[in-house]
Amino acid sequence: MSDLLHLLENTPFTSDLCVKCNICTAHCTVAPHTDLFPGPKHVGPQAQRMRQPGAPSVDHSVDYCSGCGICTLVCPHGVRVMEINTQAKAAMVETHGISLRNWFLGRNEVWGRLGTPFAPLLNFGTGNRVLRWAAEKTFRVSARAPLPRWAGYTFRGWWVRRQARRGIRGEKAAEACDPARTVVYFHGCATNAYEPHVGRTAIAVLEHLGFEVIVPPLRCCGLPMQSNGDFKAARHYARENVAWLEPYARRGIPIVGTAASCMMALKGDYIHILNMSDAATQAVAAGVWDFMEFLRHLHTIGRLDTNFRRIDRRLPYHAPCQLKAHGIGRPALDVLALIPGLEMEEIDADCCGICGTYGFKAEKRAISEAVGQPIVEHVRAGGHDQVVCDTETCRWQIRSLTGAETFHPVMLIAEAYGLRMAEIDDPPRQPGA
Amino acid sequence: MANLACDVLVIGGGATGVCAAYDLARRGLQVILADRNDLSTGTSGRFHGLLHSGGRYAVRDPESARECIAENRILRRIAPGIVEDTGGVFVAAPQDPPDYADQWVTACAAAGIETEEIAIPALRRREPALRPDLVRAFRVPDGSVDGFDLGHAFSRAAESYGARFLLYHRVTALAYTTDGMRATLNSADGTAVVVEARWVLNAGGPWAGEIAALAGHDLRVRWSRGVMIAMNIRWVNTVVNRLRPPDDGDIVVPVGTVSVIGTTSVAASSPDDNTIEPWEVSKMLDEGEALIAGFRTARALRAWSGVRPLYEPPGAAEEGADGRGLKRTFSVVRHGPGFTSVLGGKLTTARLMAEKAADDVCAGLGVDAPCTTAAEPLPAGTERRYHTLGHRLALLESGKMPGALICECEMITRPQLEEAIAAYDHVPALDDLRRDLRLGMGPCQGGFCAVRAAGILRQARDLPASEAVEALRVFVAERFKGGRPLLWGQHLRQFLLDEMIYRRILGLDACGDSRPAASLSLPPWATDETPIPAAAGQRVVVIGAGLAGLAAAVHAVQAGARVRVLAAGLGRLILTPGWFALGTFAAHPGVEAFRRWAAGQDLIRLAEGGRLPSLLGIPRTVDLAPEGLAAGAIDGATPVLIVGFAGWRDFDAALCSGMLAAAGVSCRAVSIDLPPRHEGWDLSPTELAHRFDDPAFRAEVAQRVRARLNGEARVGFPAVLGLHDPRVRAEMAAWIGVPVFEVPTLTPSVPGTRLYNTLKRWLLRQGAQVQVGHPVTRLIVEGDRVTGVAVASAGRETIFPGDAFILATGGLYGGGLLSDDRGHVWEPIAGLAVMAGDDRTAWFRDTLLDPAGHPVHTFGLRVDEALRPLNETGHPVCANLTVAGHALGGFSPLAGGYDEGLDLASAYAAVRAALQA
Repeated sequence: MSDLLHLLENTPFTSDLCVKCNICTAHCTVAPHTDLFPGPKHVGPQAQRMRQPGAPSVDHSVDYCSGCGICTLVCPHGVRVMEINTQAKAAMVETHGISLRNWFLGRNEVWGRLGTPFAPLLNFGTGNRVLRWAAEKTFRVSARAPLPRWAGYTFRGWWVRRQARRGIRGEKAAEACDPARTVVYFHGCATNAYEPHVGRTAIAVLEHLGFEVIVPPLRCCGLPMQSNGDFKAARHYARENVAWLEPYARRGIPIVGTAASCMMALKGDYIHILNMSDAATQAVAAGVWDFMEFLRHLHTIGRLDTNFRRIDRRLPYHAPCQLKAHGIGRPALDVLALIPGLEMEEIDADCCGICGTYGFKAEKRAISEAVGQPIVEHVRAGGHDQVVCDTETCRWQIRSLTGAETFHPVMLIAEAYGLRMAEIDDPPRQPGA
Repeated sequence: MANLACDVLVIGGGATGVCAAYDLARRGLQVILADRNDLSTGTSGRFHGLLHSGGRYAVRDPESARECIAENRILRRIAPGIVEDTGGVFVAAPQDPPDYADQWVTACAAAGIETEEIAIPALRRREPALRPDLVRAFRVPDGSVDGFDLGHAFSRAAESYGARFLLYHRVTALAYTTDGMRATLNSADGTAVVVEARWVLNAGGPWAGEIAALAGHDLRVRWSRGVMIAMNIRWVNTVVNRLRPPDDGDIVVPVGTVSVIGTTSVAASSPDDNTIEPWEVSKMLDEGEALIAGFRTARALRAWSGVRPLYEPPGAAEEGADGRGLKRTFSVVRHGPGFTSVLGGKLTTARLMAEKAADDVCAGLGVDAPCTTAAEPLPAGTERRYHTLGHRLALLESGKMPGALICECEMITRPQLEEAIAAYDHVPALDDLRRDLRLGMGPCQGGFCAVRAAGILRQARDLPASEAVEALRVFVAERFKGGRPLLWGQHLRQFLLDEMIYRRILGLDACGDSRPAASLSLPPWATDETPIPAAAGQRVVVIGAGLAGLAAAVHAVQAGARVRVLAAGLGRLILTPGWFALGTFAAHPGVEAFRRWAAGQDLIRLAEGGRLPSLLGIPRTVDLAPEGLAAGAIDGATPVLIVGFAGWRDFDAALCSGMLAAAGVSCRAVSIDLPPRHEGWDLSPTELAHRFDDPAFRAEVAQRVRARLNGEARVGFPAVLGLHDPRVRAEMAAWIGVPVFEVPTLTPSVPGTRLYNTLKRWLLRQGAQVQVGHPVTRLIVEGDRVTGVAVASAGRETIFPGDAFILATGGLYGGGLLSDDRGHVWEPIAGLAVMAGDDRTAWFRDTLLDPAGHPVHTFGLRVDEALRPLNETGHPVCANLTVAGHALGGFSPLAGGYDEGLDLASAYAAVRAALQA
């Protein structure tokens, strides 16, 4: 790595590259919808020149940055605008502390797990207008926010029980794995508590392709804490994950996940936002794959089973901001194009507006809904009742805004392979396995 | 001729002069200070901003070291508002003499300078930009101080004790009288002032010899010139000194928003010698590299040189031609009864120099009042904490700095500018406002704020539009002078952007009008009329999302190809006025094909151009324009109303209307209030356009405009009439009752954004993939064909395969070419052959707005007749890789008036050639 790269890989220093051209301002998803946000150039590289490291934060308006990251993507000069903003939010938290609401929203992992035994009660509560109104008044969590429904069981619990049925306890150590036939699956908190079927389907697809799947007891990726400025907590979780994953990454065993945003945290945010530049974090980042990216890679090397059943449907696809930030194109579109009959159309929308926990906040809910309007228009104009999307919170937002059913592209892959949930629970033995 | 009398006339408004005026005034004397210029325009405004701890002089010049540390402490006590307590550190690089450190520590202790050794890792946690291979580091109590702030603070303090300032008054004669001296001053407007003073104190710095000569005295001042470079951001927040015997480029000082590296030491030919030699710039960068890895590639913002006035008392030994060896102490010289000079020294010891000089004056005058400047702080209210880092941001963020933000880089608002303008009894130059407020001193160097400030100046002083535009031209020329020694890399891109704004959006030059460039003979690819072959099923990868790249994608999609656009970021579309300059390429099939495509897009339908008004109302001849802009064609007959929005910074209706009127258009401007908003942040053009997408909002605006209509047959708005909704302009015209047109604004340009949005949406609908934030880093080549491109994805690279590849990454502005301070220009993806001049000093002509453009505009890739890029041996790199747009070398699209013509024609030809391969 050259000296320049090293210096300008340091997020705050990328403000040196800004020529003030306003491309980021023109494409900001939030600024057109609120007077409280002066735009990414203003709170990003421009304010960064005036920020003194270690001095108390003087920022307020950067709180309205949703963190969608479109600014970083469109910048032709290499300024990490969104990353600068996220670090500025962390400095605000360091100066003023974190609000109870934001602390709470960052603890997705805990609430997901703790809530599981009480799923019916909680699902009633989150679906009840009066209770939601009360929650908005007391906790400033929007009554219109698309809160998920607890599944009543966790992916992790299902996995441990399934392994136990097969007489397996704990996860195989990296040294014992065959790198060519093993995959580590990172499920993330939302899959764990709210959408375990996505994780089960992913396992089924990976096993169908002949991989042995390992699911280490990983923690929250840290993203919800990071985007609420709680870097201390986010780094704590990040370090635990890196420690778990490093041995697998070093052995060349792919780390694959269906939550595109968590995978981006592992690939990029730990380094560029949380400033974890150690070799272990870099090694893990190089070994992480978005699920669909991994399937596309298998296809490139001739290992993807393309014996797909026909699916005669035309479906809209929304590429989440976090997936765009991977810089891997649209792997879901590339892979789904292999399924006969299936036609995908990418929605021309920069962001759905949810941005992790942003759209859950009462004072930001209206902005969040306005940002998502292009998706609503696309779905309505096309008369669609299904939307495909790679991340959980975006799916909940799109479902809430459009009324359409939303699902991860892996569900289409499973359908095209003819995999059924019953088989996923207890899959038949692979020949030769 | 005016006659004034005083006790003491101080000549020179630098740091020593203002401190002396303050000192003498405090002792009860009547003081006048005169300077041929503004305050702090000599050496005091041309230094690096270091408040010395004295560590630099500890070994070689212990007397200076002791003075420095004492004055450092005093200045922090009496004027805390102008000192930033950055702290300092002396660091030893591996190549520095290893035994110097211990010698230095001992010398510092002897001089009373506290030092503390700090471990390198601990230092790097505070200062992550510093090299990891530094050997030793010691903390010292350095600080930073802004020379302009110091001048202002002490002059206000002096004024509070009754001192009087005659700025822009040059001393032309000095003569002894019976009870003192008589000085004749000439003011800037030519009037003479005679000052009868009981004593004259010469604080002329490098000009002290000339001043002494007026009274017949021989005073030998040695001039030593030093170059400093302000880097764009604060790479360090602590003053960093090299731990070695003082040499060139061994100090980096964080001052305000920048970090300054200094300095050289070269014998100067005169006190006005502000030369900056290229080797001096190189030397600074090399030395910076020893402290901060990658420093050469960081952005240098401004370079300047200052002249140190070194004094050799008669009989002193020669100590090297460059003056580095001369001591930095100072001398007070009594020439005769009534005339004293103070010489040498440095900014840190200015107060002490003033004290000793004032002591001598007082002794001569028989005044026994002691100096009190060290004991008491400056009077309240004389310091303003404007220039410290974070201060303006804090004010803005807390809502205590209302009004439109005019200079975004340095955070200056409209009320601040208005206040500064009001403080002058003449019409100030924009450059005066720069010194007052730092206007235009940030990264964009005036690209955005200069035109806004010119509008405010026009309004505040009720100037004719042409005078405001002239003030703007002068400022633009001045900024270019400061930037020119540093135009490579990112700062080159900045000036290329500024130049596009000045020429195309503002219309500040006469050239750039779209017209056939006589000298341009079309290459074979541009005259070949063969259509694009059918390409069903072929995978076309386009690199770049500017007009050339996206037009290429459209042509490839229309040919039946599966298209993927990969771009590091967005292209220049939103930086253009929105109209099309085609020039020589007007009849090219690529232009025709694009027009046919655009005809189906409601939002951006194109019409024939004509003479259209620029943002400044200067007529520009264009070939093709979106209907909204084209409707503004100047016909001279119909009276026009230009509408501006009160308080909106990106368009000044009166400037536009004033210049249009000067061009013979019957024209009037009105400013209307926008429907109310919740808060005060400025709206960008795209954000305002978004509001016009709301029917209620635009109906309200239309109603307000209609009420102000007075017989005008057309209404011009800034180009913000809707971002997504194609009906806005027609609806507003219907409501107002006359046709409506748009005039380009500062970036982000709404017409350009509409064009990008339309192109992208159309491509997605056709199943193409458009992926920005995907920087291509290399080509995958097999044999004579490209088979894929690698993108720097998060974590690792991703390979995207394809059958044909179009390189549309732009030129030096777009990032398709990179450049460095050594004059090297290269293509970063494949190392393709580049046409460029390697003498960096010849890249630009002397004035930024030269009608002929600049040699640097022609730099680009070398291609064959089928647009295939060549390698260094002159052979095509690959059969299926072609080049489109501003990446092509040998063209001068901006000055030649064919910016869009080149993009559209080459996009078409590049797709054709790549698919034929």
